[in-house]
Amino acid sequence: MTQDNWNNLIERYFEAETTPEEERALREFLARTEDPAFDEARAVLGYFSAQRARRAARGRVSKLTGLLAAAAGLALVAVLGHSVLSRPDDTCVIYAYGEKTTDTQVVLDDVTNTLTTLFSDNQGPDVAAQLTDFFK
Amino acid sequence: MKKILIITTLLLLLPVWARSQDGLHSQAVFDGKIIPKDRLIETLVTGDHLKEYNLDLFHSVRLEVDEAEYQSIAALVQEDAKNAISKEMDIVHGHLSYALLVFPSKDPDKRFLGFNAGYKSGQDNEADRTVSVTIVYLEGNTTVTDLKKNFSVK
Repeated sequence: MTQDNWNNLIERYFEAETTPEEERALREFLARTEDPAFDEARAVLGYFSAQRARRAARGRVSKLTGLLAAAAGLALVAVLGHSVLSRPDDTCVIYAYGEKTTDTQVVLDDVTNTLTTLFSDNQGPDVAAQLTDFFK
Repeated sequence: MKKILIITTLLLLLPVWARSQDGLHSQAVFDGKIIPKDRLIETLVTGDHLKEYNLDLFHSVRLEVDEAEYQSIAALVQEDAKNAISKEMDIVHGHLSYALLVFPSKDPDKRFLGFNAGYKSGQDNEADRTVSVTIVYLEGNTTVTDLKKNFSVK
């Protein structure tokens, strides 16, 4: 291509009429030519190229930030989920008809009584006998 | 970013749901969905208090109900029994009086559900009948044998 052809291409570039292939060819030409007639075009295209590179870098940083945020979110979910599911707290409470009792001894006595009734060898036949009378 | 926030929120809620549902039909009784909570006695114990019995969670509900309510609760327990890996049940004239169910669990901790029902009053008048019901949900690295050994009164 002649110098006029390149100048023509540069003009079309600034009119935003060039194809991607033409822009690539123009960038390659400006990168290798030392003709001072193209200094101005080289400076402007160089600026745009630098801007494009910065935008691409920003995109990469943005993606990285997103991934880090997602990882942090998942870590938070894991910690909260584990803390909720593993029940590390010592809960000891009775709600009797809406009234709250936190007296440990009272609550633990209730636990023992309930489990003794449930697991006692005697409870089965007694309850069965009761219900036999009840539902006959 | 919006998608990340939505996914994070859903994931945060997941363990809460998982804990509150427990996958049992009887959970509705513990949640006060069958009988309102102001009509029952609910006991909840977790942590070190239960260590000596190798239990992590004790959750019981005691209530006095009429015949229809008793039937609803017993039906839920019997539904849960279908998924139990081990069960002991007493059914008298079609009425569930006792159940001890063990459910499958992924971790070493096992899940147990106990049910006890006995008549309280109104044996002569069906309309006035009151049934005393206890439901117990347990979690822990123990067995029915050990629980019976610890709590059985011979």
